[in-house]
Amino acid sequence: MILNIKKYVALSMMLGCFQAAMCQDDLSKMLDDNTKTKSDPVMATFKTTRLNMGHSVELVNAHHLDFRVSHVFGAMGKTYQGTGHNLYGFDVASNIRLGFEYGVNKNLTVAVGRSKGFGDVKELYDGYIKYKLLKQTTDNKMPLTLVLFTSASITSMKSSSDGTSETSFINPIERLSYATQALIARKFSSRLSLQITPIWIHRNFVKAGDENDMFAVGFAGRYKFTNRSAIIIDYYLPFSEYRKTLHKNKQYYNPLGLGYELDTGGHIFHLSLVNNGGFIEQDILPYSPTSWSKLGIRFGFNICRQFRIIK
Amino acid sequence: MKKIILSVGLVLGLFSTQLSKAQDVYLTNAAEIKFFSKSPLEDISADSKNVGAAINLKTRKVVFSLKVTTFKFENSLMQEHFNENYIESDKFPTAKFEGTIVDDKNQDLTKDGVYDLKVKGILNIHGVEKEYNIPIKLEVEQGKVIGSCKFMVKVADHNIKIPSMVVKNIAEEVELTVNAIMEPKK
Repeated sequence: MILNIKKYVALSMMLGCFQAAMCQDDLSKMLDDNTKTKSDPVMATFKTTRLNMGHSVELVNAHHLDFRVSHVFGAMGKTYQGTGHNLYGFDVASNIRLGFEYGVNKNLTVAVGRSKGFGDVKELYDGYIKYKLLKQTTDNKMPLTLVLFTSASITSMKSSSDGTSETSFINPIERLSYATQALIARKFSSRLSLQITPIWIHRNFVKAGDENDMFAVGFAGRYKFTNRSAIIIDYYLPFSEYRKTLHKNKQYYNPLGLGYELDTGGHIFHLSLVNNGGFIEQDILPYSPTSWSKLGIRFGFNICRQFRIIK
Repeated sequence: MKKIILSVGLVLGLFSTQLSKAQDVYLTNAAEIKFFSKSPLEDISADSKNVGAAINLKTRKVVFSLKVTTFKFENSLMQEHFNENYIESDKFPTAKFEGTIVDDKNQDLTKDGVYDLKVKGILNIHGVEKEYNIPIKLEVEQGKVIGSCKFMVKVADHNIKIPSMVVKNIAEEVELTVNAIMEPKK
């Protein structure tokens, strides 16, 4: 009889302890629904609106103004006049661009800028609109981010008297060029983001034999190796018969840029090596006369900083 | 006969603990946590209104947890930096506190009243756990439990690194304020 009582007491004590242990876990479990992933948009596929040369899917944050300075030096290799006398291109300013980009809201960025110009058409004023149509979500219901982009540029260059030159403008409308692209990207992990960009360039006035319209596909990627440092790559593959001919004559090489991105908290810096010094797509794709293999590469840097405009 | 009485008693006893559990547990999924960092160059504040908080007045267990991405900043760039560079929300999406109320007077918390107590427990932020002893105020009234507390967290204690360039913009210690209006679990 006594033995049985002990058994019961032991059993009830065990069950009692079990109940108590259940309590805290139960509390946590009651709240778990709160921490399950909802459809949040993925943040920061890239850290800024550009890669080495062209655009990324990122927009400027709402009510922020992004001031951007882009600079590219001259070619390093002897084939392209890079010698010790010009410090392998560092004395030459191939292209400079100053730009202001404004985030109207989180889905729309508008911008203006001015470049020296990398190709034969210089003194380029550009303006663009960038619109985020689709956002990748954390639960993968939307696997991609899709951004639409269109830009127009106009040159203020004096019209050339040489009729064969592509700057022999007669009508002001000939000074305009346009770039339209669909930027499609996916953040695969916190470290790796990849982007593909079909692009259409239209130039109102071109040299005889050249094409007013050309298409290309851009490929770009970013690999973060610390929270604030990354490698960025961008490459363009053009579809242009004229450029295929130019390539055979060693006058066109597909644009390729390889760079290092540094986030200092206030600024994003890009230190790049590129064979193409264009900073707007209308200036990158049509002209790309120097090759990586012959050290037709240039050192370039981009600095940008965002300022909050409306409190 | 005794066996039957004992076994019935045992079962009733177990049931009674089950019954009391439902009334002693209060929870909410809309508690609020504010965070505030004061530094020479900049004051940073953010708040989340999607915090889950629960308390069991009998066992004195307290839990609160939230998805760190629910912290809203006025400045969206700050919010991006917070998630991407500091709290690393893709690696550590949740912050959680689990603790027990320490009450020297051993008061009956199920009775209406205002209680100034302490909670001792583990706070897990950015994947790093640390024990805290937090003063907490509980107001038990008319079927609701309102819990509030304010405490400081050293960001370095949870492995959150602040780069030297922005050291003047972000405080080493941030102030967290928790406010939870909890209702009985249904």
